[in-house]
Amino acid sequence: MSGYDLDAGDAPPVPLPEAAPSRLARWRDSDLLASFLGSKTAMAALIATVLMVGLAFASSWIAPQNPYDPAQLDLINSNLPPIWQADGQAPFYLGTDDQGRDVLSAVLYGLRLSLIVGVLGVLTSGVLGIALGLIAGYAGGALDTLIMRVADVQLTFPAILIALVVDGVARASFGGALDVGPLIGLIVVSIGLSFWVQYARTVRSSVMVEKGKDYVQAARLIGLSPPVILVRHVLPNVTGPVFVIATINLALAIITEATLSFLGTGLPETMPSLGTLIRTGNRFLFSGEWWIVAFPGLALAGLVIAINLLGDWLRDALNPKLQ
Amino acid sequence: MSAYVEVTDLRRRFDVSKPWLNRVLEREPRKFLTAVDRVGFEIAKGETFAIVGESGSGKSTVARMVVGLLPPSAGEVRITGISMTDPRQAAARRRMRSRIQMIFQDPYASMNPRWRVGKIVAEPIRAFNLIQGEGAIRARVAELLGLVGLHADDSKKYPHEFSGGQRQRVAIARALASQAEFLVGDEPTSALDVSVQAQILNLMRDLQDRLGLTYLFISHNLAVVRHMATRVGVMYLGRLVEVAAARDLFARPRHPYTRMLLDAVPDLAHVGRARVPVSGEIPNPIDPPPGCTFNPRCPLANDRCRAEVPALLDGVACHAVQEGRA
Amino acid sequence: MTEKILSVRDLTVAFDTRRGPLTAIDRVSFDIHRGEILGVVGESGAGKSVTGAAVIGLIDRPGRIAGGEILLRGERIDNLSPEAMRRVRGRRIGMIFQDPLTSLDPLFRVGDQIVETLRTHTDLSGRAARTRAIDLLAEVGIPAPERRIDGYPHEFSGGMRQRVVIALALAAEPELIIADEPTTALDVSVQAQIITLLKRLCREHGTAVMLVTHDMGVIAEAADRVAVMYAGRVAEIGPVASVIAKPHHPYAVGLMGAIPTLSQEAARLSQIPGSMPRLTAIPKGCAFNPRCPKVFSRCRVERPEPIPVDASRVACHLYDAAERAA
Repeated sequence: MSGYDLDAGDAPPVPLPEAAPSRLARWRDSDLLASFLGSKTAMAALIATVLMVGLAFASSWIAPQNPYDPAQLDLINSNLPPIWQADGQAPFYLGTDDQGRDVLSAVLYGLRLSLIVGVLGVLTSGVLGIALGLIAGYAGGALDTLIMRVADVQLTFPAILIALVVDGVARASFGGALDVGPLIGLIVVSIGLSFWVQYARTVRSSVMVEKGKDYVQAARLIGLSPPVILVRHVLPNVTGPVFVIATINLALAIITEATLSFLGTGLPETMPSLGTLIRTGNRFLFSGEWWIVAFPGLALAGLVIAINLLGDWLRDALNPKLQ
Repeated sequence: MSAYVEVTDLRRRFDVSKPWLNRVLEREPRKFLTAVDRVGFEIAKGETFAIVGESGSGKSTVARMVVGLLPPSAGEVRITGISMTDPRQAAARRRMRSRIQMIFQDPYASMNPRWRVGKIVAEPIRAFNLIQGEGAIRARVAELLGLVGLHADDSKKYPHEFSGGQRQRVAIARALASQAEFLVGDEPTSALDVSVQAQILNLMRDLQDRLGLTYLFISHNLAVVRHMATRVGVMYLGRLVEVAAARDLFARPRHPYTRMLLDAVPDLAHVGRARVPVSGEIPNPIDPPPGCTFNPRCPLANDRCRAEVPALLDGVACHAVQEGRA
Repeated sequence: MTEKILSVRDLTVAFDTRRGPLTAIDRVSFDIHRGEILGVVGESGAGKSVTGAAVIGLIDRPGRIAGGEILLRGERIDNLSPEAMRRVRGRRIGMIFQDPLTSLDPLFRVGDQIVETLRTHTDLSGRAARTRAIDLLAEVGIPAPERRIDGYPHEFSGGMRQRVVIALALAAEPELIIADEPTTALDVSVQAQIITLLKRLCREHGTAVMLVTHDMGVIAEAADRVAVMYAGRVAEIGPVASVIAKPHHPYAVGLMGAIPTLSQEAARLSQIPGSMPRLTAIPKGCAFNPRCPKVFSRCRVERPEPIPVDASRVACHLYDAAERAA
């Protein structure tokens, strides 16, 4: 019944408000905030995400141990169970692994590493996808066809396969001995190349809608060049959906990194991410040291679920038509 | 006196074929829609030339070709003698660019929703490098907003804080910002309520008187056209069927379509009017009738009308009128 | 006096928002008699469509009828259960909406949609219903109805589709038809056909029609009486000829003067300053007072009740006997 829609049809036009409200006032008054305060799931997800991100980045100060520093590991402390079990001892609240590495510290440091790789991966794929989507959508024609065909082909491969191929090719050409820095770069690029398609498609379709709108025509009439129109007028108006994809993709990127590490092509055991911890911990699952794999696994699952819930809420809040 | 705008033999074809693969599989030929067919008219400086027509008449396509948003398939638009298509006049055309602006139908879509009004109005000034210095630009924006009946403080607001009529005022201010002298209005008031429409129509007439503007006014609303135009062109299915001074057209419509249209408009003066409305609807423009496109609905149509396209002679494109049958 | 079909008394519709309830319709009263067309006219935000929706019980959450009553032939229908209201809709009240394409199901043949309505609301058998459907299509002017009855909606032109919608609304011989902007999506020439059809059918069947539109020209031609709405209230209601020729309420006066007409050339349209208030900011007293040229102190504090003036009822303090005497 769109004819009776209070907002579109019968909401009377705005008379002159006395003064333009400030940015803060508009945010306080916005539907986004109201929708957020109305959703318990979204609030819980945000609190959980903020908590985990906070803990991860405070890990250098709050973790009992630096798990990347071999000098701090002591084999005497190896294979200790969590503190609430009979043999548990402080400060190893969640137990230790076979190297004597504190599981809590490893989880916190691993969380940080996973988040860094995930965010960088999302940024890479986002920049790549948005740029290609803008070009394809605005230029149209052969360039559009080319970019979108590449995207179609890429979509037929699972993201993890692409990441494995990129990773494998790079390792083969640089040899096995890569420093941790370049290694993180490599994983980020792998993730970027596997996730750009979704951004490109979304941005392209938004651009095709926006470029037909009269404000873009008005910009053409004052003689602005296509790149200027794209960046100044079109881009700011297509960011909403991109933001949603980025949030949901952050969860996917973290899982991809974990999967790569789990398969042994990701981060090494000397600098473990959550995926690496799960891989190494897996070996002890049947010998009874369940905590070595369980806590990294729980941390990964918790982080991914929280971010996903946040992304779902954001999608619904920004686009009521999708519900 | 030579005309300010000269449009000669303007045509525009759109390719509406299915994608190549579907055409091959379904053995279909390419399909074209002739949106505008051999349209020619002139606009004198300082006058308002209106093009009136129903949906599918091609009036908006003409407007977009005149301002240069859409290249014509054939024909030419010259403004102050400068061709809008000839590559040899590209430099002269660039200098012209700022003089020609457009006012769009939907004031909600014609402004970047994320920009403040001050920035929107200042954009043409910056793009054409008309004024240097932030303070001078701000002063000019305030002056423009005042000119269209808004307050200088309104420049701090976003488009969504304005009503439709106020936004259309902003759009006019933006068009004037580039020192435009020729404004093309594509149904500039059809998205507005009548009381607001009156405000905008009055404003456009006031600005024309004060600044000597020339208007090309596109509308489907005959009463609005009557109020605004000095001369009127009537379009039907891509062709200009009648061109006349507004006063003559409304007093003595000549083309059968113009007569039908004038008779069909519901009007305040016709309380409780009982009449026999014309039958039929506008045919699909992809597959228009041969000859005069109005022939299936025309009470005066004969075999010649069904075979031969009438030329626009002495302001009217109709065999019946030319043969003295009407 | 002919029989009253619809009687709306002090109807109030509110929308609950998180900032509290907003009153979209505020104590609106009117009657429609047998065979009469009541035009409900207003600009966007006037509440005309919400009034129509309230009568057919289509106010969805967060909206609700917050007061008053709606009587169909003397029976209250505003407090019926959703199930009982569904039986009233279609059977006793027919509906015609703006866009004929969305009011027909694209996947069903038009005949099947009419037959379905007939079989839901009457006790006609399948064969009899089909015969009746063909008669209905013939009655609304669809050529070759026995063939067209098996067509799908997309095979009909816009005007023909709206005719099908009218046939659908008439199918169960309702006492009242609510037509919400029935001609707005159509071209001028087709508009005239639909208005003529609606008038003829209403006269022949004795159906009462509530014609909701923003187009005063359509009201002038089609309606017997007209209610002019402003900010959710009826400003003036009376016979169409007198409201158009000699409006009383200052808003109605301004509105009539703002509409350009074909019959006369006005140098300037009269314009009402400002725009319709938002639901969140309806002024105290008379809702029109900030824009009214004749405002006086009482208008700012006390809401005017409708008073009989000539043949109309006008909600304006200017016409109060006490003010006139003073």
